[in-house]
Amino acid sequence: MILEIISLIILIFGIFFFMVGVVGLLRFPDVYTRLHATTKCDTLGVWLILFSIMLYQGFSGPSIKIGLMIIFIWLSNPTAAHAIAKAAYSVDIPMIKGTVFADQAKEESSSW
Amino acid sequence: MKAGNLSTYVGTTFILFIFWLLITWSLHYHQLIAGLLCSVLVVIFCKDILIYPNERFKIRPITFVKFAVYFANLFVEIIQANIQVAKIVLSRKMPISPTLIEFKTNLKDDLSRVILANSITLTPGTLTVDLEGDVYLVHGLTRANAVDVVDWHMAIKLLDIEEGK
Repeated sequence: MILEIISLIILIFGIFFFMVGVVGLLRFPDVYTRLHATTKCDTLGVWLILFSIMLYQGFSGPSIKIGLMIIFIWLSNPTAAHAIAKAAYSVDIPMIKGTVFADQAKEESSSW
Repeated sequence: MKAGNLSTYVGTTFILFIFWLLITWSLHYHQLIAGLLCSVLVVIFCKDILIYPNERFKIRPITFVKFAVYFANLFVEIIQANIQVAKIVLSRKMPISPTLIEFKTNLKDDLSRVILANSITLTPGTLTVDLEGDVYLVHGLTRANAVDVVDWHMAIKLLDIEEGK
């Protein structure tokens, strides 16, 4: 009973982070910032939702498979995000106005 | 076939077989034979892209402990940064200042460079756009995010793991 309530709370948090991802996708201005919203909030959202299912299941075969799913999503998610970003960058998809290129060497002298 | 390669073949087969056991979740001998056969076949087909000893970390207990600490730290970072990004997304004014930053890393191995790049991408607010040699090109959602990634404490931890190998 207690476990069900806890897993329900975690599930709600997971859905909340997915919602944040969708809101970010709609509000942010260009490809790169949208990638921030969607791919990042998804990692925690997926983790929370799958983790709540694991709690609900208890320790069994299916819950171990769900754990493996979490690991593989966390491995593939950054790779996919990087692939999209690199593709967008290499075909010069314009960034939103105001995007600055900060150089590490000029860090102290710059006045942005 | 070199001696080092043999250990890679056997080790990869073993890992794949464990994975098979976890997925099937049964110890019936049909499953065991099929799993073993599949693992061996996968290793044979993929022998060009396996991770050989010269491109991976030495397998020692201390390395595992350090990696466990690293991933626990990464997890905490991800949760913190996620909450931060959620605040930015939901705030009325949406205070973003997208910044591209280029920096060099001290990491030597390709594997640890890839781990750092993926850690940067996994952490909300920063996104690895390009990795050429030892130069990272990182896109930050806010200026602070992008600047912080240059001397990130996770990179120092990874350097420590690499030197201990």
